[in-house]
Amino acid sequence: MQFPVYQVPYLGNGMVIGVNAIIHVLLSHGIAVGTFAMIVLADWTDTLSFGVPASEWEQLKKRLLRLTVATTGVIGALTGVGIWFTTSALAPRAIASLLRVFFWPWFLEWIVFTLEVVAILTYYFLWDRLGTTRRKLRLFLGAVYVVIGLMAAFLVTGILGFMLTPGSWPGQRGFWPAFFNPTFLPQLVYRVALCFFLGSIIAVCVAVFSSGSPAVKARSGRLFGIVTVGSLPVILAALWWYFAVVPKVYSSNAVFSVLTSRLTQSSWLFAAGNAAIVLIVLAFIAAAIWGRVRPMRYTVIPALVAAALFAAEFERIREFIRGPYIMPGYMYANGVLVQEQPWLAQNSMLGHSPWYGKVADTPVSDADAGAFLFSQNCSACHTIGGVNDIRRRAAGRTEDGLFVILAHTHEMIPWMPPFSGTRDERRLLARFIYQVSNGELSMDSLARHTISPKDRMR
Amino acid sequence: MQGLWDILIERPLAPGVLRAMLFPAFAAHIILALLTVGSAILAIGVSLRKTEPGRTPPSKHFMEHFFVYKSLAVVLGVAPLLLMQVANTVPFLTAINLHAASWMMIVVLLIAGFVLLDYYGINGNPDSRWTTAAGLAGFVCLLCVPAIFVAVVVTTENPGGWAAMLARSAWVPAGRGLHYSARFVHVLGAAVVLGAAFHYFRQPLSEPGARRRLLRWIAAALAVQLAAGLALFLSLSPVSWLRAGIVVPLVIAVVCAFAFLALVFKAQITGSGLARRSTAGLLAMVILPMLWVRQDLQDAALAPLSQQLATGAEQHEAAIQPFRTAALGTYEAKRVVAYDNPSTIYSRSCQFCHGTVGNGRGDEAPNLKIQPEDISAIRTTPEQLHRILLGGVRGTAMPVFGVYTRGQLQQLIGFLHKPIGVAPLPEQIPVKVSDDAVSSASQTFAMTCATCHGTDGRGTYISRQFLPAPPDLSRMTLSPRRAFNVITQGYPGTAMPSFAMLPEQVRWALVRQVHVLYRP
Repeated sequence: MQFPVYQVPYLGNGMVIGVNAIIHVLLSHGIAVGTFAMIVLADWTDTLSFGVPASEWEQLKKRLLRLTVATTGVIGALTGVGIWFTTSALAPRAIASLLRVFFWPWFLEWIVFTLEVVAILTYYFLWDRLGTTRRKLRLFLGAVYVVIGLMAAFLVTGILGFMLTPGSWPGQRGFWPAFFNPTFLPQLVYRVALCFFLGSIIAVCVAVFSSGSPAVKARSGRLFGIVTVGSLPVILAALWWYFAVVPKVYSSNAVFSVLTSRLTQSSWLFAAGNAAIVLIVLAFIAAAIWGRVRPMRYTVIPALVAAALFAAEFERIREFIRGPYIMPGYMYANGVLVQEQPWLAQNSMLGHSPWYGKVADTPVSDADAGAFLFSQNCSACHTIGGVNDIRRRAAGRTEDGLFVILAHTHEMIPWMPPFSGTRDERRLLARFIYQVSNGELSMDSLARHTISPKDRMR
Repeated sequence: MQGLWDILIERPLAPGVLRAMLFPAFAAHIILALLTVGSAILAIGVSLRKTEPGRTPPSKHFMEHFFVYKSLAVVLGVAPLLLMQVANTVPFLTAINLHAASWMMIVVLLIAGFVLLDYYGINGNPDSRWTTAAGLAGFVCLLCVPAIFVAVVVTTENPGGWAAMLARSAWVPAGRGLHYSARFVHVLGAAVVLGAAFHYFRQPLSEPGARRRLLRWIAAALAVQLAAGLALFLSLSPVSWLRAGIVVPLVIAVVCAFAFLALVFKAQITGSGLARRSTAGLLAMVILPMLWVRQDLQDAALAPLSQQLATGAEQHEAAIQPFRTAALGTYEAKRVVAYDNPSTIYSRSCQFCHGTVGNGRGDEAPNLKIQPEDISAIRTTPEQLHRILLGGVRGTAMPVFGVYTRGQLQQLIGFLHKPIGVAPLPEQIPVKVSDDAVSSASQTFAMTCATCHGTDGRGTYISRQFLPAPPDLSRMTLSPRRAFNVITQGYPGTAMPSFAMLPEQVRWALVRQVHVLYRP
């Protein structure tokens, strides 16, 4: 409430944060840790060359290394920073609170990231030199880097876990139970296994589509394929553990989070889709262990897409089911504190929002008030004219119907926060949503200077 | 701005400690960032000259380890960002939000800029138009980033101008235009000085011409720095800089800058080179005091607001304190309610309108012009109920329930049957009706009812546009008593009027007529 609200057009705030974050997850898990670990593995099993010329094997490793350095150094690191940049702009209250609660893990994370960058650059620049004379040192450096990468995962997982299972929060605000919360360990196991899972598939993909003898490709398929085989059951077991620990009130919304209201009536799609993913990956594993180039070429890209979708699915579920909270028990997804909501019901939200109505000399219209209330209460998840369009959700409802529904959204829909504001403000919001959804109100008609110009949708 | 308050979670360290940590963290980041930007400026700058054939293009030297500088610059930026957001939470995040779109674009600009500049650096052939274009494009992307960062920082430091900025969608607070421009130029100038000095010592000695060129760059950049620095100085109000904490480091920095400029001139005139130690020492004594001044001014600018924010937080905390226990209780109660059974779904989603037993007399019924239906009186198929739940009833308060899966809705539909009382077929009407009444009802239906309900109960082209439209009587109907009441009293809030003027027998006969239309 003490920050002006920006509403991203069309995509909406949540989607922007989510898309950027998922790209980062795929690159950080799959390439920064996963593919890199495959390089180290390939380096380590050098002596077991199985008739593959050493120079070819070395060439493959170099190719993987170049991919890793190029991708992580540019897009990987920056999408990670992007998570921070997008949440700062779109969920400032939440990120500000989380930073204070988890300052030390974040500070340590900075040190870990810096070490990671130094390690990978050192490894990259010393690769050739160490390759000829100091193999063992090269292996050791590689292993050090992987460990550093896993430390970064360790630190982030505590914070992510807290956002769903907050440990002793909100009653007791201790740090350690908050960090080592119930979903910390299963999520950490899942993430580590995911790194190896994605990394092995990517490594095979690079091997089978670059130049090289069939022997190299066969060797890569078998070596990395074993990693895929090993990590898949760990992933499934970790996820079983994770969802066993997540309270039912959240996990029962998991299917909706993936299917959304467009597909909820075909809920069989959820099981079918996941089964298809597993089958595609198994087909790839079979091809990889078999070691023939053609089958590997046909199966590796579908497997990669399937694995990426699977990783994206988990992140989507994890982020969605915590609704209506962004910090369970403490803060709702729209930034209002759980404790503030009953206070706002008695004391006006408009009156306690420093950014409302004080920016101009002309009086604010009801539509402006409605738009502002929408921005504070709803825009964290809903757009006007974009993803999760409020016009579609409210279409056909009467104004008094909306007034009533707004008092009960948090009951009707388990992941929605309650309305924050007085009864009169609820009426203003109901009228606003009604007028916007039946076309009476176009956003351009709202007075420009009385609300944030960014509250307008173009 | 009035009425702001700090967030209600305490800082992990005292603000003074955080600011002390910010100084070295920011210094490390900015030095690498300046080196990155400086390398790019130099590379693009010298690429405009033609290279002699057979020689490595000079830009390649500057871009050779660009990847390293930029990776370090980005990762070292994490700490100052963290410290700023924890120490100066509200001002910094407000400034970010006032520049939300540009702020988020930084990520895209950095990715695009780095990709293009890396491509340029690897190829670095100025005779290729594509590579030069890529380099220029990347360069422009990269320069946008300090432009945005400086705007955000200037906004952070001027809380008094936030409200007006919002109203005018301004880039910087009113009256800070000169300050912003000077500051931006000052950053670029520093990048060139630092970059040129750094690369000076990395140039191969076989190319003395390259070193001489770099000395000219340094001299020119220092001149720009002094001019921009003066403009920056003048853009500050005297009140802010007339303190020992500012004047002393400023004087040290300016004196060292001039000393370094003298060294550069000497190296140019005599042809001897710059010495590593004196260069590094002098530049350190320019940059570090300048960074000190920067932070000191920033802290001073934010001090009054910090006090207001702290007080505001205390007041806000006190205001919401009484609601803590109840809020925690609500949270704990909600946490154990999973929407995996129809009783819960009904009580949370339906009861507040339709009542505990589904008779339409929920708590919110008095607030609705069109009363919620008495569900127990509905006679229809499960498929039609499913359709209503998924589609809502347009023109009424009845919402769309696509948020529930098919399984959940089917469970709910079962619950609506038992215990609520929906049934697939209507009962017989409880009274006997005469043949006269039946024929009268038949005529009335054909002449009056069918104009809205249609002859088959499915409505007409016109009545289907009503909000709400008449229900499809071929797919759903009501219990005899309820149907009788609707015919008698009408359906308030909709187009269905009261037909109380008809004799009771005729109205019962109409009920039977309506039941005949129902073909499940």
